[in-house]
This record gives sequence, C-alpha cells and structure tokens, in this order.
Amino acid sequence: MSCHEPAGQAEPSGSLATRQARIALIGSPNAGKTTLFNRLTGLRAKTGNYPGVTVTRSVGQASVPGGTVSIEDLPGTYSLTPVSPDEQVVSDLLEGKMDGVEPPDAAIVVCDATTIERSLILVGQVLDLGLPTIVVITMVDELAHRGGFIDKEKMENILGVPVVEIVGTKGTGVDDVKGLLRDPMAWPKPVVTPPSEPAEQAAWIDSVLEAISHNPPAGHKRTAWFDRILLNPILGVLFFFLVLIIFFQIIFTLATPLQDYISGLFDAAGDWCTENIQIDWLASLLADGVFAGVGTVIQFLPQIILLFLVVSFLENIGYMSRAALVMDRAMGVVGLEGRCFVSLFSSYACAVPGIMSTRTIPSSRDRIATIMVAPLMTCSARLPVYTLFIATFIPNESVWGPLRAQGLVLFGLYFLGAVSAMIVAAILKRTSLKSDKLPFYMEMPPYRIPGIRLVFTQCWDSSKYFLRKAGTIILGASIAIWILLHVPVVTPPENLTDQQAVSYQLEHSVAGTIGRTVEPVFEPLGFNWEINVALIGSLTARETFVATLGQIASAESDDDVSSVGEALQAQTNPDGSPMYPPATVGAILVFFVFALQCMSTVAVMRRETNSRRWPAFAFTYMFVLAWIGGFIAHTIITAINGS
Amino acid sequence: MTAIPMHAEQTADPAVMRWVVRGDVVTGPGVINSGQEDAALPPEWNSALTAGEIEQVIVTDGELRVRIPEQRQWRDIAGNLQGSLSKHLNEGHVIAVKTDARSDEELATAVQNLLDGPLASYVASHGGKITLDSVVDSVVTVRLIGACKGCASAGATLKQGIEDQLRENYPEIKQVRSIDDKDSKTSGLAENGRKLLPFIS
Repeated sequence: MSCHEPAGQAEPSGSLATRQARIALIGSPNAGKTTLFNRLTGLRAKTGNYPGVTVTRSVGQASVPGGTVSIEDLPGTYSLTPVSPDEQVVSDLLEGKMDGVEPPDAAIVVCDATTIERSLILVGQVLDLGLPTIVVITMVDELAHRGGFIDKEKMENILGVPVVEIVGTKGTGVDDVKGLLRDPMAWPKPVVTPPSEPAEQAAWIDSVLEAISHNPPAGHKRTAWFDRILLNPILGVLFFFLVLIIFFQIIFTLATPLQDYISGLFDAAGDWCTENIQIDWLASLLADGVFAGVGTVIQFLPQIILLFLVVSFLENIGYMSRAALVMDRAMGVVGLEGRCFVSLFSSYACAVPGIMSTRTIPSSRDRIATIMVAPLMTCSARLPVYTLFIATFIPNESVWGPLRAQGLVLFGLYFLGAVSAMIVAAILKRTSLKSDKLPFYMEMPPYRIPGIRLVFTQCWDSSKYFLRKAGTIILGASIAIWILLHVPVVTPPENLTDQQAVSYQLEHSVAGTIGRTVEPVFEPLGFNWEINVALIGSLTARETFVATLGQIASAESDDDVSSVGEALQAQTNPDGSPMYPPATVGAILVFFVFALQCMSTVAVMRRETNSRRWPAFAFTYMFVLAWIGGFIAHTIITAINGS
Repeated sequence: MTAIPMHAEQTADPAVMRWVVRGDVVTGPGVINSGQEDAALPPEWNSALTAGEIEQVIVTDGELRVRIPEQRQWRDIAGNLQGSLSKHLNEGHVIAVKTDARSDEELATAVQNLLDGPLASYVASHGGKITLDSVVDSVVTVRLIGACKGCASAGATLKQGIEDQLRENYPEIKQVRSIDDKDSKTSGLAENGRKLLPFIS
C-alpha cells in the first residue's frame, strides 16, 4: 500500500564459486512466504492476509550460523504452470529463463498448514526440479487451534526432504529454518520424486494427505460466521460502504484537531524565521517556501495515517478477498473481475502499488484496463487537497444524525472517482480491450486478527513514505515554485500598500506570468492565475497544490491569519470578490477527482504496460475529463448560486 | 482418467522403503524373497528380485515393503520401481499375495527377540517391563508390568510400537494385544503415543 517497492537489497554478484548461496521462497498465495522472509532477513517487505500481496521478487540477506545467505521472496503461485504475470516470475526464475539471473541454489517451499492439500502440487513440482529443497509448514498454531494435525515425520519420510513447522507471526521454528540454511548442499534429496503425470499426481496427493493429516482442520467458526454477512451480495456491499462512510466521518472529527496542532508548529517555525533571520530573501524562502509550503502538506499526516491504518487493517484481517468476491459480480458488469477490485481498492492508498498489484490479474486486457483507471481511485495524495478545501469551505453541520456535511462531501468525491473508474473501464472493455471473462478464483483466507505491531509498522512505513515525499519531491517543487514566484524582482508602483506590493511581485514573476498565460484555458472553471500556478506545480505530485497555495497565501496574507484555510477564505480578487467562490471550489475538487497529477504513477504505468502510449493516453483522457468535470461543476454551482 | 492413489515413504531403515497403495488393490500377507517371483507383482519387480537388486518384498494389505541389499542405493532403483508399480496397477492389475504363515513358535521367537533387544532398555528406562504371554493363531499377547501397567498411554504406545515393528517383518501377525488391555477406549491418546515412536528405530 505504500508507493515504494518492497524493501530489498541489491543481488549479490560474483562467480558461482565465491558468492553466497541463493535460496528462493516458493509457495501458494497467502501461505506466509513474506512473513518468513521478513523473519529471516529482518527486512519489512509488505505482508497481508490476502493472496497476491507480493507481485515481484525481492531479495534480502539472512544471517545464519556461520555466515549469510541470500533469500529471495517470490510471488505466490499454485503451480509452476503460470497463468498470470506474477506467477510467470516464479517459473521463469526457477527454470533459469529470467535474463541475467541464475536459477537459485536451493528452494524453500512454504505451505499453509490449514490448506496443505493445495500446496502439494507445488511441492511435487519443485521436488521434480531437483534443487535442494526444504518444506516449511506455516500457521501450525491455527491448524492446532482448529483441531487439525499434520504428521511432520511422516511427511519427511514421504517427501524425502526436511520439513519444518513454524508460526511466522510469532517466530516459532524460524531458528530451525535458519539452522538448515547454513548448508543447503547438505539437505537430503528425495530418492524418488512424486509422479508428474496429472492423474498420477492427483492420486499421489490423495494418498499423501491420507497419510499425513490425521485430522483435517475443522471449519473456521469465526470465518464462517462473518462470511455469512460479508459474502452476502447485498449485506456485503452495504458493509463495504458503511466502512467507508465511518472512515470519512472520523477523518474530520478525529484527525482535524491533530492537524491544527501540526500546522501550529509550522506556523510558529515560519514566524520565528521571519522575526529572527535578517536576510529578507532567506527568511521568505524558509517561512513561505519551506514551512508554509511543505508544512501545509505535512499537517495532513493525521489523515494519511488514519487512511493507512484502515487499509492496513482491512488487508491483514482477510477482508480483501471477500471484497473481491462480493465485487466480482459488480465488476463483471463493467467487464472486469474481482481481482481488479483489489488493485483498485489498494489504489485508495496510492495508485503505484495498486497498479503493481495488477500483476495478479491473469487477463492482460483486464490488467491494462485496471491500470488505466486505477489513478481515478482517490489516493492519499488527494486527501490534503480535499480536506483543506472541504474543511475551509463546507460548513461542519449535521445533515442527518451523526452524518455531517463535510464527511459526506468527501464520501461523494471518493464515490465520484470510483464510479468514473468503473465507467471508463466499461468503455475500454467494450472497445479496444474487449476480452472473454475468465473464471474467477481466489483463495478466501480465514479471518486472522492482525498483530497490532504489524498494522502499526506497516502504517508507519507508509507514513514515512509520505513524509519522505514531502521532504524531497514536494520540498523541491516548493522551493522551485518559490524561486519562480520571486524572480524577476519587479518594482511595484508607488501607491500600493505592503500587502498589495507582495501580490504585485508574485503576479509579475515568472510563475505568475505562466499562470496568467494559461488563464484562458482554465477561466471557464473559475481558476485565477494563482490556482493555475498551483495546478501546474501539482503535476509533480498532487500535494504540491496545497503547498503552493500555502506559500502564496502566507506571502500575501495579513499576519493575524492563523491558517491556510482562513487565508484562502480571506483572499480576494482585485475587484473585491472572493478568490474562492463556491463554484471555483467545486471545480477544483472535481478537477482533482479526475486529473492524473502524479509523475510516479505515470512512470509506473509506463513500466507495467511497457509502452509510452498507455500512460500518454491515461494522462490525456484524465486531463480532458478533469477539465470537462470542472467546467460542469463550475457551471452548475454558478447557476444554483446565481453568481 | 483417475489413477490409483499411492505414494512412497522412506523408513527408519535406510535399506527399506514402503509403497502405500489405497483402494484394496494390494492385499497380503506375503513375503517374496530375492531369487523368487510372484505373478501378481509388476514384471520389473520380478526381474529385480531375480537379479538380486531387491532383497525382499513384504506385502500387507495396502502396502508393499521393499528391502534392497545394503550395498545398493535407493536413488538408483526407486524411480523404476515406482513407475512400473503405478503402470501395473493403473492397467487394472491387482497385487494379491498370500504366502504361508509362519508358525506361532517362529513368531513367538521373533517377539521375544524384539522384547529382549531394542525395546528392553527403552521400557526399562520408563520403569516398566513387557513380557510375551502367548502367540495363538498369529495373535500376539504381551503382558505389561511395572510402570506400564495401567498406564493407558504407554499401553497404546507400546502395543502400537511392537505391532509396527513386528509387522514389518511378519506381516501375517493379525493383532497384538496386551493383557489388561484398557486402551480400546482411549484411542485418542494414540496421537500422543506416536510421538514416542522413535524408540523402535
């Protein structure tokens, strides 16, 4: 859910004789490979309780007694006969078909103890490869809890390779795995491999299961109970919307007070600079460019953390598969399948991992359609823009009981984005990306209460990404925009007040000139040159929009204005009319629902579709939609307000 | 097409592997030694027995236990045996082998050897003792003394252990009973008992 690739280190290079052993983790989706990977390497690659969290291979080092080995975490796969791009990664790597990458020296097959019957095909196929292999059985605590039992010794006798039982989340048994990793070449090899002919293989699996699982696990009671509600086509969808509505309500009730506190800190820092730094331009750069710019973005950290907490919790408890199943029918109307929904839902955090997760989608046409609409899902970067304008311009009044106007408007914007994504996908799937619907299958993992630590570390990792982005891209853009707003230095006419002189400088700067040049394009949406400057800046990242407005407001406003919101409310056009009338605010919000203002997303689209054409198409159609949407919003609100 | 469910297992004895076959197509008891043949076995198995590549095949219901000579490697032969067995059974052949049961006296000697040998020290370390009571019509009865007596868990464990060990070489043994046999109602404990199994190896 964070925008960065799973943590990992560069692969070791060097001759086969001198380099350390490379060991690959292979297993069914959601078997717990990444949890084991993190335990072995001390890294924090992303995990979740739904199939398909890992879509690419990541590499890490594990210290084992007497040295280190290199561990590769691979995407989950049910067999070595791939059906989707993420599964292709596994078979290519193992069969040595990946460019410039040797096959691993040894393999760890990770099996979920509660669904061991589905893992045995893969175990058999990996044993056939002839690599040194061990089998790790995960979630044995859950198996025991559900009254199941696997005869580990029997399994070792049958497979002819070491079998280790672990509980990845608690770390039980991980030391046993580490002990074995010391010398993969010493692992016993099976004297006879399982049959590979499909009918014989199926028969082999039946026979093995009877031998090793004295008690297959009983159904998961908690899971069965919740699934009666969550997999119900109507109740399930209602529950999904309920989760979203509650979330949008608490964004304003819980996060806003914290936001005020953070923004107060940055204001104080800015004021300190203005008062104590004697060099005027430096004081302005720090106060307006850095603290007002970046600070305006960082004050939304509470909302971002809250969003990541909700997404992380839903991902880890096992809800994502259910949502995918419930939504499969709805997605089918559009021409997509349930798995596409998971990618789109992930895009609520950030479109980059959302787009990467499309690798689990078997149909390449569905995959491209999903990539094309993922940026329409409301990502966390829009949250600062939405919350700033909604908190400033929408009254916080109760509409119906505990439902308040601000939360409902936010819900409406999310809803508009999602509905547009569906409509665009439907158009794409009926025209250039037409394809037959493949049968949908996805494992429904049992509900597992995620460890608090896990949820918080994941949330913190994602939030760190947000802060890093604020400290790099957005800081860079803010400084660039500050410079462009202050050069060339112009001499204002004599008769202006101080405040007006500042405005005059900004307006006649390079940025101001650009903003005024594109005014005819955005005039129908009610955007003035200042909004245009912020809009152009926000092409790097959406948050830059509020950073730029924060800068301009801070430079132009009186000192007694305490927040960016108040400054925006106070700003007026030269003719005295408010700079942000309702029609303009509506147009800005709608524009942000559609526009693709994120270079990271464009880059990942280019990589995942392996073309320039698709990202160019996405950027263009989203800009056109944004303009038209903004224009419609402006026109309607103007008509209603009569102004 | 569906195939006969079967799989191979290594055993504690590196010279012995067992093939477990489901569905009543393998029935015993029978023993075929190197140099002998049995028409029910796959032709490749008979060739291997004739050539001395296999030392002994013991057939019980649903199981073929194969011993190879010490100097040979399973790796060289297991794949062939498995392939030919699968082909043979999936062609519709049934392996039913019945060789003459050994006398109760012979079985009694074997049980006594086991109780005196591998088992004795283990049982003694638990403060117990097991003696042979009788062998009648291939049903073995043992007597639990000392700490073993009245301990349902130990009873289940030891009975199972003796039975497994004896069956490996004497498939004709029908049952192993212990006097004061109380474990008939405590089969749930057999699970725990299995964890103690290593004593027989």
